[in-house]
Amino acid sequence: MGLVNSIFATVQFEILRVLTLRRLSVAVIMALFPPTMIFWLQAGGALASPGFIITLFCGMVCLLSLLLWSTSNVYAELEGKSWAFITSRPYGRWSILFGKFLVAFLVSFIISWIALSLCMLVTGDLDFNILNDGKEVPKMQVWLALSGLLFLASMVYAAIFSLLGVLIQRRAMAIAVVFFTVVEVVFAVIPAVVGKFAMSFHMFCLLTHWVGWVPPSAGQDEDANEILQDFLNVYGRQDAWVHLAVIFAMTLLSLSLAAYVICKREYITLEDSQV
Amino acid sequence: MIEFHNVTKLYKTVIGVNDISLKIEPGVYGLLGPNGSGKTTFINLVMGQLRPSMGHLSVFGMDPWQNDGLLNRIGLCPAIQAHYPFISGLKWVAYLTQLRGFSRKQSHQMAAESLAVVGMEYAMNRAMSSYSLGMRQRTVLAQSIAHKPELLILDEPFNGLDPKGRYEMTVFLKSWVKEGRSVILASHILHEVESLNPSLLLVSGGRLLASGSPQQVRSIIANCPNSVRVRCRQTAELAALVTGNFEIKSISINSEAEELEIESMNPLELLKLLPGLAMKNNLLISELRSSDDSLQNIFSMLMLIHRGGMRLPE
Repeated sequence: MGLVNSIFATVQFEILRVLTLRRLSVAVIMALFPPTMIFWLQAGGALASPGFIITLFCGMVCLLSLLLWSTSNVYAELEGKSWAFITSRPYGRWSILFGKFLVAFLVSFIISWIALSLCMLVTGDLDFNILNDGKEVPKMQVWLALSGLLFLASMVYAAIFSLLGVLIQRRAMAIAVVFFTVVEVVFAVIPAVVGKFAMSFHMFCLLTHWVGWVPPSAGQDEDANEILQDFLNVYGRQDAWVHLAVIFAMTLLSLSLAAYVICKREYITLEDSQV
Repeated sequence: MIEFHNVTKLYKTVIGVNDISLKIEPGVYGLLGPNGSGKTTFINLVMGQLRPSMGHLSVFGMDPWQNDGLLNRIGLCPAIQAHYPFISGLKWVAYLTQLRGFSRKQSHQMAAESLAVVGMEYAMNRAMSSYSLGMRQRTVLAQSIAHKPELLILDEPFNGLDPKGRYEMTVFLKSWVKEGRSVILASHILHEVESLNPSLLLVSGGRLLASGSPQQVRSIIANCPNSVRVRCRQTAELAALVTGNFEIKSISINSEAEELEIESMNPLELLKLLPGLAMKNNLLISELRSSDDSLQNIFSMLMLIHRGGMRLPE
């Protein structure tokens, strides 16, 4: 009970810290970036594939927010010299890890979900050209599916980046960017077992389960469906629950490892090492 | 309460504490040492935030290394200023108390009580960014006492306090000690800790150089080779008197300032006997003081003695 209480205390405290003009401005800018871009592209007649572009922009916003919030979980406390106050409490280390994970997850999901919802509003009656078994997927279903994916992405990447933040302090954000590029972008497109280590692969599979294929460009639905079939033939067809289970398992594994490391590790500040 | 057995802490090639063995019973202790002497490492070892590289230690009979069960028996007031814009002192102290496992309601009450104890009741709902240095220091103290620990560890608690704040801090610590609680007060200024009449632990270069009551430590310091400055109109006559009667290393005369600087092997004897001798010889001394009275010099000398480079006079 004490642990749960202290985790929620950290969530509450961190949210209080968010409520500064600077941090709120950053959040607003991030939430407004995708709809502004969509509006601008639409106005210029350059919005070829709205579903793909919206997914890309909202995913980027979600990722950026997670990088800002998760990777600095330990470093921000060491840098802000609040580490000594937190670690001299029985639940300090646990609550910093889980409290900050929850805040990063919630804030990133909320920002990216607002961005997604605004994008849907901005596109109005625009046809998304998303077909599933030859039928046009309703926009509401696309919105629900992408909301679900943003939720899962916020959760799993918040956990992975929290682990990186616990392991590496000084350049955790840069390492997280490299990690994402290598594992989540490069690995994900390799048609081999290694691709299944990428969470983006499982999310892509979920997207195909929920709404079918989001084509990279308009007017290529048939080609896109062919690409999808090839893709599924290479990777195998698994039920949605398998992908969901992998994503939840990865979240748990990352958090468990991070909890072990944060509790067992000596974090030495610059002041300490100068004796 | 605390036992160190040949404890050494290394930060790669830097020595934090070096082969310290000591036993601390409940009471009041002053951990004295110049900046960078190993005080904070000592505290972090006691708090279980650092693991000894060699040796072992126990706090309340238990190994403190990441022993969460111990942390609620100790209150730590680090030498760090807390600074959170838009967050009040009450909210911050209550949050830190919640991390000890107390409920939200309990934590708020405990935080308000501890802030009242340190005289911050009037400002506890104000944002911490509006606090002065002294107010922040008192808020940091409040977070360490909110759960009424058995042992309170304070790292340079007088930093940033004005004379009134220092007085209030001393009054608070005296009342805390009166309640039968233990205190370890780390400082680099001797007279700050002396008012609590603690047992002193003198550390430098990561080593425990000396320990004892303030009187014992003062006598060690007084018996160390030291410089003595004497202000007297008849500097030449006084210099002759000193060289004829005391064992000295050097003497320098500043006629313009009417001052002698005497480097003595036994400054305590010099300080004791010189005024009487000067009076007998009709020499008027207007000022007599130790010139090397900074703690850094004392620690350098103790370090030299510790390494066998110098011996204390009998």
